[in-house]
Amino acid sequence: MTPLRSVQLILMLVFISVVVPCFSQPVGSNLVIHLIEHRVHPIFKWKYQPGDIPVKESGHTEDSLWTDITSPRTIQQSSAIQWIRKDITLRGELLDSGALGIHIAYLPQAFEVYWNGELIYKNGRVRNSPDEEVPGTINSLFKIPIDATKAGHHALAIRFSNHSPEQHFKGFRASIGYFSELLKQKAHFFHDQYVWFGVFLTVSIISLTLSVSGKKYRSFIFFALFCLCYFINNVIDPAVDAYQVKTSAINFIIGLQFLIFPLSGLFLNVFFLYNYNVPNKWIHIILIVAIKVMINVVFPTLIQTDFHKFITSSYLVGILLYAVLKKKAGSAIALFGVTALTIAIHTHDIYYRDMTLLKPLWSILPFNLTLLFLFCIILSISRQILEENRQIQIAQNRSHRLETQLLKSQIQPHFISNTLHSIKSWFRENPQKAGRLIQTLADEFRLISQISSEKLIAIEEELTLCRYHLELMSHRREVVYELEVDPVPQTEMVPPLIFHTLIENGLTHAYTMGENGKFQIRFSSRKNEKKYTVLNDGSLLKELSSQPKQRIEAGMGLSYVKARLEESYPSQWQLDYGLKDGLWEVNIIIKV
Amino acid sequence: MRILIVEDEPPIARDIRWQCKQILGEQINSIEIRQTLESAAEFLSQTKIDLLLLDLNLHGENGFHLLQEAVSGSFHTIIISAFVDQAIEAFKYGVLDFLPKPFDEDRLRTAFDRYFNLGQSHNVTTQFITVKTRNRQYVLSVDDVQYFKAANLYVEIVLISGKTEILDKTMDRLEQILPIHFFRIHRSYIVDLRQIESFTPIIDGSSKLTLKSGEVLPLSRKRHKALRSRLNE
Repeated sequence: MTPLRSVQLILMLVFISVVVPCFSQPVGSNLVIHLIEHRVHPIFKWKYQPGDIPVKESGHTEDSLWTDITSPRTIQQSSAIQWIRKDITLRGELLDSGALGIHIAYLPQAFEVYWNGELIYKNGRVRNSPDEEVPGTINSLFKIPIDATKAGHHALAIRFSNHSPEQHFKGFRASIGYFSELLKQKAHFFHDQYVWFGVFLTVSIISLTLSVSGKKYRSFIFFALFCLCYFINNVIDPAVDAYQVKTSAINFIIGLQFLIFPLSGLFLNVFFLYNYNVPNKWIHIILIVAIKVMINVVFPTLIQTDFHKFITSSYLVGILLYAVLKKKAGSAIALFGVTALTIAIHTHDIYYRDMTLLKPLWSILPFNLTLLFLFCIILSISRQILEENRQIQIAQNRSHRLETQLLKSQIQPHFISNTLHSIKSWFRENPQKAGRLIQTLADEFRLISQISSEKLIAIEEELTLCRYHLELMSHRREVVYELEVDPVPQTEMVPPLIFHTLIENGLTHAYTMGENGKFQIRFSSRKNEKKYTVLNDGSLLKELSSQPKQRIEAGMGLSYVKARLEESYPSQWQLDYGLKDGLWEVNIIIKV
Repeated sequence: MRILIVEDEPPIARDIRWQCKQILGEQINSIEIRQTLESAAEFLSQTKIDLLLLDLNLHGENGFHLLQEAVSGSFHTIIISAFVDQAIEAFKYGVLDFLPKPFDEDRLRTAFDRYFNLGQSHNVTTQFITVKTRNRQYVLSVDDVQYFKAANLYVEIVLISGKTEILDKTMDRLEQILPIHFFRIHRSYIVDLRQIESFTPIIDGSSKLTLKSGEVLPLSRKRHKALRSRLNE
């Protein structure tokens, strides 16, 4: 983890150096606008007056009466009529493009806009009491009268009232520029929203469909939720644009919007945590939630979303770096995509805040980078699916090999040749016995061909196979081999030939010529595991047990047994063996 | 003929014994069965036999150790085995025949024919000869041999290096399991034809062969013609 930690640290530093400039507010409380430029200027660093003042005085720059706004809470304290003010200096002459305009969003509930003491716009009705107050629209776009926008100093003052305690000033923004430019900006904004609406809704539905298609893909529900959040986000703005602020549904939706961004970040993080099976997921989730909650409570500046994004981005990148280090399929592409998304998120607001920070070409960056991100995720997912299919194919091949191995071992010359030659002998000595043993041999082969392609068979079939085998071997060696089995439910399933192989091992290695043998198969189960034990009382294994483990394992068909166990109970089985109480025992333990 | 059957499964051993009796009848002086290597070795240390029928996959034993032990004896060895892929390897050690189980009298009869047919045959692929010295045994390659020389009941192996070894087989038996580039030039000599440098005819019709090593060996009159035709092959 150390290299991962240091990379995360480096990334944090990189992001700080990128994000901090975004953090810092434009210098100067006086906004200077050159009319020759077609830019749109965001308005920051407002001044604030907690009470009502005569309108005429709003044009005066009596700084001592006004306080600088440092956080939305500065405003929330009071519920009377309040004022905010910004001094604007215009330089140059108005171009033929027409009048200047102002765009205000999310200033609850009602307000009046004064330019140099003159009312130029009303949004709702500003009143002292909640009953008389009429909320206005969320977005306002209006012109400043042309003759009021000559070169010089101007005062923009807004008189507002907010009698709804649940309203807050998150997302409040205002900008000034040529009205035609502001309209263009709005159009662009809606255009982007509608495209993203379609894209995110589509990807969300696809993701949702994928998540129900298999247990492996359940994590995609979180990606679907992430896309849904973006989708909702992009629906809300156009939807609420024309609505009044006071409707509780609208309030809820607006409140939702400010919840949605951090929530989308959470969902994306959770998706990656589950998709790449990061250990201790819940610790990460709790940490992320805690950080987001802490930010909302401790650093509620007007530009707090930047820190949100920073935290989400670093966490995302951190998770993906972990996935890349663990060589998870498709993780490198996902990391690339997430980097694109991070840049998109961070440049998104720069774009809206000050269009000259980025060249015109770069203004389309957030949009394209977000699409790039989606593309990368889809590519990454397809890689993942390909990899999983490859693993399935490998597992199937392994199963086929095991089946072949099973069949080959049973028609192995040693077994069939010796058995047939034995039968030749019995033909002369005891034809009835010969006949019966041919039948047993045939039955054994029939059973084997029935079970060879299965991964699990009924335990009774396995035991029958063992009994056939022991009968044949008893006659071949002219000794008595017995099999004693614990009672077991008929429904119990085991991989084919695991007991048979162990018994055959015993027959080959444990007994001398002429020695009778007794095999036992015992079952036991505990809370979350079941155990099979195969025992034999051969005399030879007592000395074999003192030999090094490799020698013991090399001669035995244990690799077949282990492969079968791994096939049906991946990483959930254990096998051990040894001498105990004078008997050789092999234990197979399976976690249920 | 004295036969020993080394087979660990009693019914199979009994069947082989029965088959032998069917084929050889009165020619059998004795036919014994042993189930383990130890009991077989003990038997062999006390009794001489002519033919060994050996199961390579004797319970718990290493097949090829068994094989090397067996072929170092004075008797012929016929391998009976379930694993056909062992056949090629077995023949490299100079066994008389390899019978995959199960086999019947016809197949066994063919093997016995090889026992009774003196002289060489064309499809012998023997590459190794196992030599027993006191308690040690080791394997030497047939390509290291210049010639074999009879020495009472044994055979002396003269290697290219000049060293000699003692082999516990008769010349006749040895001749049956040597590859075709060996030739019996004399009642007491079998030579690797590739080691012959030159011929020197002698007035009485026989010749002297000079080997690359400089040694000179006699070529009997009787075998002169046979050698000529062999060399022309």
